Amino acid sequence: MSAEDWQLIWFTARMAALSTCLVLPVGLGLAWCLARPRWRGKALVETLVSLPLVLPPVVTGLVLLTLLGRRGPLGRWLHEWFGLDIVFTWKAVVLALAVMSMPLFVWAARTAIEEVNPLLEQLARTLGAGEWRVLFTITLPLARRGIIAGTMLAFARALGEFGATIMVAGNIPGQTTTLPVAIYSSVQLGRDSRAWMLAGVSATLAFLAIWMSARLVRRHKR
Amino acid sequence: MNQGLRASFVKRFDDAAVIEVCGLALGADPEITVLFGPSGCGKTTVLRCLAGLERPDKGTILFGEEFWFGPAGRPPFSPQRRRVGFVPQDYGLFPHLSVEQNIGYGLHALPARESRARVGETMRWLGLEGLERRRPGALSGGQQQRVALARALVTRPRLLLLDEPLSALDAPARLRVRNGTPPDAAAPVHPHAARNP
Repeated sequence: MSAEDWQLIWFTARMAALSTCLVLPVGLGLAWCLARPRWRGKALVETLVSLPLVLPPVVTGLVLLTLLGRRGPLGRWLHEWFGLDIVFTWKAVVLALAVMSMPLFVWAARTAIEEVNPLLEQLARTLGAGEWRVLFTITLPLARRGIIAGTMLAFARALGEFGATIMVAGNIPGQTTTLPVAIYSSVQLGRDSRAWMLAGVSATLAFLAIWMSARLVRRHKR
Repeated sequence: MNQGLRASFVKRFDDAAVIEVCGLALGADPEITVLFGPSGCGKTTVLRCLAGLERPDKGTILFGEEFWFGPAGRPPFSPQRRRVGFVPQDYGLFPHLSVEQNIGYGLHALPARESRARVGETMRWLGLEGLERRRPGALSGGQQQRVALARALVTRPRLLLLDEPLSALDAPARLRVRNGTPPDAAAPVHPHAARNP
């Protein structure tokens, strides 16, 4: 493997890790809101969060591109107020990966939170605990297995994301190219052996992520 | 001045079941009230409404001068502010915490040393010494129940609600609880106990 390949793998892993860091707090908040309180519009938010799971990733990418492009509503605002340009930079890669892996995380975390016996949370309240203390000492620790599994799943999903990434971040070697995008362009250029080598790396990384998640979940089983 | 607990309320369920409590009154002096009734008649729901875990549809719950629920338009007292000890039928121990952490859960506002001392005292009183580091899953039914009781009593609640209590206690422990021996004579626990036999 060339230095360029190593750089590509390192870049992809870093982007996936960053997107997972973004998914965790937002996804936990969403998962809790969907699992616990009753509120109007819940079904709508639930559908919106799950949408990237069933939409063609290219469509999700197109939506992000339109929103975040310099002439898009969000993109213009970010550019004017913070001088931030998102599309076709590594930030677009992270965002695309986060949006695409969010549904998997929210689904796993929400199921785990729903499985926590509400009586335990209620008892904590009778013992004087406020909502944050209940969340951090009862709900989240008891849901940790699903949360860990969801985190690993989101990371593995991010490693393999292609459609949304190429739409919103393009294919700029050394700047926005991730493993799956590099595999695609290798095939386009007729460099099949490189494509296969990178595919092997992809599979190994995904295997390791899922395997580690299974181990962590088992360790927390007690 | 504390006039004890006065409660009259109605709780409706989706399946048209209605629970009505008319003029439940517990005196201000330490006393024990027992709710009797066939299973499914709503004893647990009454206790849950008193603890603030469930909201009646109408009525009032008055504790001393505090309106815990009602009259209409007043926000209900949160379970945190009611300072009620509640021991549910299946004990509801926190499975991821040790016995010691379970019992000390309600004391987090106290300095660590005082909290430890109180937990130790209550554990001795209920014969739980030596089980400090165990998880609830590794305890017998009777031990679990005593831990749940200890967790409720250690915060010195103003009202102790026991759902199906004493069923799993051994005879000596039952006697000690019934006699109401406080764990600390200087600051005795004299909760009003509403209990579901």
